[in-house]
Amino acid sequence: MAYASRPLVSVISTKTGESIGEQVKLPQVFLAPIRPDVVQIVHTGVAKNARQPYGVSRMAGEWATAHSWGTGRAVSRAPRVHGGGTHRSGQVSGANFARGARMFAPTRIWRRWHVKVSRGQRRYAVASALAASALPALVMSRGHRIDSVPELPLVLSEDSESLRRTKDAVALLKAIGAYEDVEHAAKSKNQRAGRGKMRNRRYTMRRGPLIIYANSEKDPKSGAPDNLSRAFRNLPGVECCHVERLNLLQLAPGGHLGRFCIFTKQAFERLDEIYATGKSGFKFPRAVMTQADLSRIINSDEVQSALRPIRRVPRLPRLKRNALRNRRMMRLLNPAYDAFIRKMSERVPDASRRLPASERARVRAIGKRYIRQLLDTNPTEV
Amino acid sequence: MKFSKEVSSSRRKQRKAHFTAPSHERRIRMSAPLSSELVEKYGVHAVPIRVGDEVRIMRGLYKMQEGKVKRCHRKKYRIAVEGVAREDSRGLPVDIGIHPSKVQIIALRLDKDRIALLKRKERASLMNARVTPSRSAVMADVD
Repeated sequence: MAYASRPLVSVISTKTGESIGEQVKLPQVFLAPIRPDVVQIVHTGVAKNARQPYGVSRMAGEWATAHSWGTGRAVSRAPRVHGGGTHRSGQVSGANFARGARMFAPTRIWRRWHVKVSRGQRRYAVASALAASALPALVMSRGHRIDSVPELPLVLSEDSESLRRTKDAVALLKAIGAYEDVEHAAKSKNQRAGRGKMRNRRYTMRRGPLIIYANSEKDPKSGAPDNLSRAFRNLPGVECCHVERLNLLQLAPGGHLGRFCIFTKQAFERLDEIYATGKSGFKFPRAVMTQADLSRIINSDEVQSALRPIRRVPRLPRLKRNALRNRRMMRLLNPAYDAFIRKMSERVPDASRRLPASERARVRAIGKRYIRQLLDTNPTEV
Repeated sequence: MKFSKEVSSSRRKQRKAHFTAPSHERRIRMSAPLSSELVEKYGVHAVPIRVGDEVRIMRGLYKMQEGKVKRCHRKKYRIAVEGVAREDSRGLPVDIGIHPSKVQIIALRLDKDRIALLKRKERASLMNARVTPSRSAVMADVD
């Protein structure tokens, strides 16, 4: 599999899935810096912009007047509804824990639903996501099945634009080895966990390949979607996008880089036109560092030779210790300390154990006498 | 993916529409696919089912059984097919309701309105260029 640093990309036949011998120049956008941090932040902002406001009714739970009865009535001090003559009076209300009362922090429609992301950042993120889509490792790590795809970026020959039938679309995807990814998406269709099921988000599914095209042919009859989209739109996980309208939500779903993109040749050639410096203030993203291997820079001879010598930290004065308690301190003050201790420990037990010579003779005599006595009384035992 | 602006993709609305549909809408909802021979012949894939059509059951216990449609219960969204019945506790035969989407029409009961319907549908599908024009010759014979 080839990598994006190559200046030329071969065009793949829609019939055989092999190169047709033609090559196109790799658009500059594929050399944009890959910045997962930028993509992630922009994605969080952009993803919020399709939200519709929701909120509870402004007066929900606020209709009753309620005050606490205070202490002394053997009931809790929760706010209770005023008045009489109805079941409602005396009920706990007006607190977020009470039934039929206002919720905690009622949701309001004037929440900040949409997030404005600057145009420069959005363009940077899209360029970055496109560049990531050309690296097989990143595309695979997003979970796409691209083992049998001949090359990334994947560029299809010109006739792919005039595709009309889904049957042909499937044949095309099979020929270029991308159908595995479609099957992966189809197999992943499952019921969503949680309440989303009853809110028209019943199923979840992985994303498949993204087809990027450049034709502007609308259906001649209705002006409805172009033929290419019609051919692909019923395939699970597959999405189509016009090259002029590339969208970060499709290029990096979930803010994760490396969507599997399939370009038509026309679309691929348009990329250089679209992502060109100078167009309505667009500056092509530049990497902050040309060499990303920081430790290599730091350890290079050039940097190391320019550095001043390491500044040693001067030694701080020692802490004062009590020499009577701290042995190490004592040894410093008194080099003979160990010898002294040793001598003391040798002398002390000797003095207590050893008896004078005359005493020792007396004790031995007592012992001998005792044994003789035993032998006299019981001679057979010995 | 939602394509039509007129049709809601909300599960709630779809279910409401289905279960409260008036009889004339139920007729459309109770459409059955045609057998491949009939598709070939008429260029039409499915028509609303009618008493007198011959059908082949494609699913369930009575799979591959064939018979005439005896009755269409629009209220129950079910059809009764001749020969598809069981006995109740008194030993009387009771029809088994079959959903029209689970049968295949093998012979249409053709009357004036049915032919008009087929012609209308064929013309619509011709406009989508799915059917070869030669089939209109076949339709000429139907008249």
